[in-house]
Amino acid sequence: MTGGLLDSAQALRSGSTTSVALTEASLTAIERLDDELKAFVLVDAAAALEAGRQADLELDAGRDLGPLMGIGVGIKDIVDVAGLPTRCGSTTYPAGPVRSDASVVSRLRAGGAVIIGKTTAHELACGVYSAPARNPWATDRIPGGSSGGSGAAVAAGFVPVAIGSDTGGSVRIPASLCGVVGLKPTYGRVSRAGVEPLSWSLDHIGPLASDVNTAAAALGVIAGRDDSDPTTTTTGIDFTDALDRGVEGLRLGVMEGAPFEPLQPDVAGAVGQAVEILADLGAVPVRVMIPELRHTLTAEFGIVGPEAAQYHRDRLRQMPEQIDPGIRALLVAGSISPAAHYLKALEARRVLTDAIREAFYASELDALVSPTLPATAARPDQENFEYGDTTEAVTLSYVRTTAPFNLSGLPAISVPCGFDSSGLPIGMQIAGRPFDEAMVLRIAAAYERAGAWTTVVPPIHSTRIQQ
Amino acid sequence: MTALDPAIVAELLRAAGLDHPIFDPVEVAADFAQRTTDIESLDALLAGRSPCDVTHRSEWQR
Repeated sequence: MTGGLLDSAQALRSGSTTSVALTEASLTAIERLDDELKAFVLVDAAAALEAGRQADLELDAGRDLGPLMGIGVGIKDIVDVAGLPTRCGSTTYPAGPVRSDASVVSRLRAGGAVIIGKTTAHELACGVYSAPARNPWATDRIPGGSSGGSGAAVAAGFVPVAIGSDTGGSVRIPASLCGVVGLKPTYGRVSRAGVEPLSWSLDHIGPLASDVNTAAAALGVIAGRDDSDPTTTTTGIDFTDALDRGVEGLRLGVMEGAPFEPLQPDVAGAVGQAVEILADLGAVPVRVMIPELRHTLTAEFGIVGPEAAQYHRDRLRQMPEQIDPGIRALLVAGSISPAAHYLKALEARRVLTDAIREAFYASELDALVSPTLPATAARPDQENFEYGDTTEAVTLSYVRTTAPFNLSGLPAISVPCGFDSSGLPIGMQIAGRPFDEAMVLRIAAAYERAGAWTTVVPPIHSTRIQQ
Repeated sequence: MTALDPAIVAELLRAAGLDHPIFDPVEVAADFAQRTTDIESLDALLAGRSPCDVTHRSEWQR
């Protein structure tokens, strides 16, 4: 994807552009193209332009607040932005504005970022379709979810970075389907304060970005200790430091077996070629199977159901008719299921995480590599994928390869690695040890430089606007 | 599949404050049975594990 952070940041500091000009370009692209994509549910043009003016004044005065200064950012509409409503893709939320920023938004503002608006989320952040948003690569396809608007907004070049949340894959799924980079950091790396939960022990906040460098820079801005979220930890890490170190000698566990199979043939081919490229760059691929991970979906939904039901209990009691029937069924099941079911899922989670840890230690791995998803973007009315003789629901297909790293809390990134025969993007997932985002970013950056997929733009993109 | 009497489900729904007519005890019972079967499939994974195996937290398990 073009429109990365580095070019804009250099242009801002050399004086060849201004934040106001960048913001106006974003707003123009959204105005002209977003009727078709529905990536944004709300654009706050006046506040964005004012933030742009402020960033320009600060830069003129020699005050540099960091890599996102003067840069437009989209915010998933489950994240509070003061003065704007948070609707979570649901009519059950009030239309009035919230009073304060989520911690992640406060950090973005402190870093001089320009908040463009709120991006489309799947209802209650509980799904992979994100209606009515569409995919810039093919508008008869979904962008994925639940951070689908953030994926579409970055893919279309509206913004170089957008914030998403990820409970079972909701940053990496739209990143893969929209051909952008998506990073789910380690649990505890980014504060969730001011973000509507889906499942508190699985929820993560992370960036979707036009390229790996932008994702690394964005993580550096939003990461760190926050008293409002006691799970958060250390601050002050520069995630861009290791991006140029390459992959020479790194040992990569290439995932095989369930839940990383079955796959669409084009996906298997593209990820296989990506692993070959990493090997050509000096990495050492090691075949890895973790049989325990075949229980991923059961453990994931065994936790999401009760946690989501507890959080949304009043909504479910008072406005059930306004909740999608599939989500409602999950919430009802979570409301009446015995504690033993939830505890069993938590126990399974520990076993799955231990199995991943054992794989890292036994094979002396630096990272795990897999397809981000087994399939490319589905149609909005599509319910299933066919893999040979196997039929699988779209939602389960998309979540089975990403959820292992929600259950374990490990950092995982999706980086574009090619296209299927229909021209739809394919993503490769790279997962690392706890708090080793620097390693997954480093591997992704090395691959990105060799693969060059992020320089290709979709049919609907800001650079295609006729001046 | 573990069957649950819809009458019992109706009581569970009532106890959970979910006595809205949109919640059909027969449908909920069928869905509950499927989810219970899924959860019970974890027994094979958990069999023979020590309490520490399934409850401890480490730096890998925040």
